[in-house]
Amino acid sequence: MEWKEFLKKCMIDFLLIQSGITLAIGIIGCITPSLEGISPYVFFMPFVYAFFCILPSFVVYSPKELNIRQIIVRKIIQFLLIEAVVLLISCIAGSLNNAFTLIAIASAAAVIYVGVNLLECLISKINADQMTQKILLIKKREQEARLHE
Amino acid sequence: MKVAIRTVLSKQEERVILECMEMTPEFEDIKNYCLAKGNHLTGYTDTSSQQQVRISDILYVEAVGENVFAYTQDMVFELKKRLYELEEELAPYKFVRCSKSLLICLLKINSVRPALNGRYLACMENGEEIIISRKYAKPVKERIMEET
Repeated sequence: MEWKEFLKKCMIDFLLIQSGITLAIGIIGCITPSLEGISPYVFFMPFVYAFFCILPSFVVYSPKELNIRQIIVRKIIQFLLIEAVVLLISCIAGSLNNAFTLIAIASAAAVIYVGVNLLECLISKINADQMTQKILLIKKREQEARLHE
Repeated sequence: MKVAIRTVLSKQEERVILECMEMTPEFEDIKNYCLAKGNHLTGYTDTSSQQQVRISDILYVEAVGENVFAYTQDMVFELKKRLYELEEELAPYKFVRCSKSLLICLLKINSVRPALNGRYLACMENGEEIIISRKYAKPVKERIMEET
């Protein structure tokens, strides 16, 4: 992937993460009793989370084609960095009060990471199956055309 | 043997007419050459012997450094052409660029399966798996859709 294309993808991911967190905060805010005296800095949290969670993506970037092993290693590093970033931000924001919260936040990040990757795999599988079906159709047509000749 | 060349106005009018008393092996050769021209490429094997390779037999074309090779079911031929030239020349035969150094024939693919990171693997008729790189995945898919 070209650098420019990669940056474009990062920018889209950043906006998606930011809007996702804003939506999550909104939903949580609706179902929990309102907290008075909430710091205005809280409203910057989606931006902060999204910005720092995008940074580990640079680990998976390579201008060359990577082999399967290299991709897996880089993905693991990316996952560990995301976990570290999420926990660090939560710690700085003062959200990590006990072990339960730590496990909950780490698990949430893990579930989302795995979920996103599974979704990516599913989309790729659908695309691959579509291509296979179309190729078989092209081959069939080609064979029929040859028979007519 | 006399050779007469007449200029025509369009590509459709182009033809070779052989006039002979009987079909000798020489005339047969000329006839075969004319028939083969267009759907064959000139390939070279290890022994540097020149051979006509049927385009319909080629599974994929790969550039390795400065050299370009055509792979058939059981043979490899060196082609004295650039990959970008072949990309253009072979496009009507349903060849498509699937990575920086590879042209793949859609008609020789058995199936496509996903690989990691937005890439795909094309399983060829000879059992080989060719990588469709992330950059070329979209154009390959678009070409497949166009063909159907």
